[in-house]
Amino acid sequence: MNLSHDLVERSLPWMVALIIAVVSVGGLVEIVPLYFQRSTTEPVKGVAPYTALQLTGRDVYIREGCNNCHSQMIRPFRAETERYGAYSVAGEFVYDHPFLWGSKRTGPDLARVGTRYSDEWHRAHLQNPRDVVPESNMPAYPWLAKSAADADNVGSKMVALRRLGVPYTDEQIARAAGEVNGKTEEDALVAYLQNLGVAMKNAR
Amino acid sequence: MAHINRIPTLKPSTSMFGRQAMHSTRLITVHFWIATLGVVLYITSMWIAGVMQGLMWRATNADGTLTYAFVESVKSTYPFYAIRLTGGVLFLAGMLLMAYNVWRTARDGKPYEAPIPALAAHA
Repeated sequence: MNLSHDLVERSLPWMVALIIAVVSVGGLVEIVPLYFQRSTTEPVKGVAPYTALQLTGRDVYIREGCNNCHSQMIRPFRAETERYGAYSVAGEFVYDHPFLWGSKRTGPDLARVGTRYSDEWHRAHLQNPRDVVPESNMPAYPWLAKSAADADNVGSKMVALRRLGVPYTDEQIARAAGEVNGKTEEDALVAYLQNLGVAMKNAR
Repeated sequence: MAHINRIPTLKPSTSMFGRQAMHSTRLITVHFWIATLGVVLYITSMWIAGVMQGLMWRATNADGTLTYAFVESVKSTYPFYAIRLTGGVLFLAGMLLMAYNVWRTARDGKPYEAPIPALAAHA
């Protein structure tokens, strides 16, 4: 059999087969180890699954498209760590399904925004960003303070996340609806924001 | 296959309305150039703004502190957003010109009556 380059370039089946082989090896070598490394599969110390209220806020965050303008990944560069805090590591995101890393920053990165501002600041900022940051181009989200957080579905969301490996207990799931009931979407969103990146808040 | 060749190609807005050409070829040219200018303004403004933001985010003073707050980069981007808006408006204006051209072509023409080929009798 002639296994020269000539064969590869003139025979489509051979070319397809060899491309699949090469890409598969590349993919296996790059991707498969990530499922077994401690740094990518085990949570960083202090990272806990989202509470029912935080989880509800996270879904508000996704619904309103916050992640289209705010990334959640601090790059390992000096200017980045100076501005936002310690660079993000994989172990901070093991309970994120899906992760919201992003790459577009119309607004600043939010990976470590938790506890940086007060709850009151966040509420004022969501009502009208210009009230606290005059040059801001962020849209206002005044309706979040008036709309009720979704307490009906949070339990089943947690059941689904448990199936993906988030260690929620039966008791947490049973309590979930009660924790969210009566809260506004703004409450939930602020609870989510105030938790972002706090596990590694003091890391350098 | 011969009969298929006799069916004229249906080009929207010309053959469809029994016309040989669009209402105005000049409008087509104007649309082309307006759209091109719009796209170029859009691309260059966002390109320059992106590089500027990146440089502002990474700028540090001699003592290692950051030169700009994030919101300063937002503020500096506004003129480029205005240029982008201009580009987008130009592109949209081009589309409106095209819509007008299509409408005139259709209004002044008459619908093409496509001959319906007779079916061969079933056995």
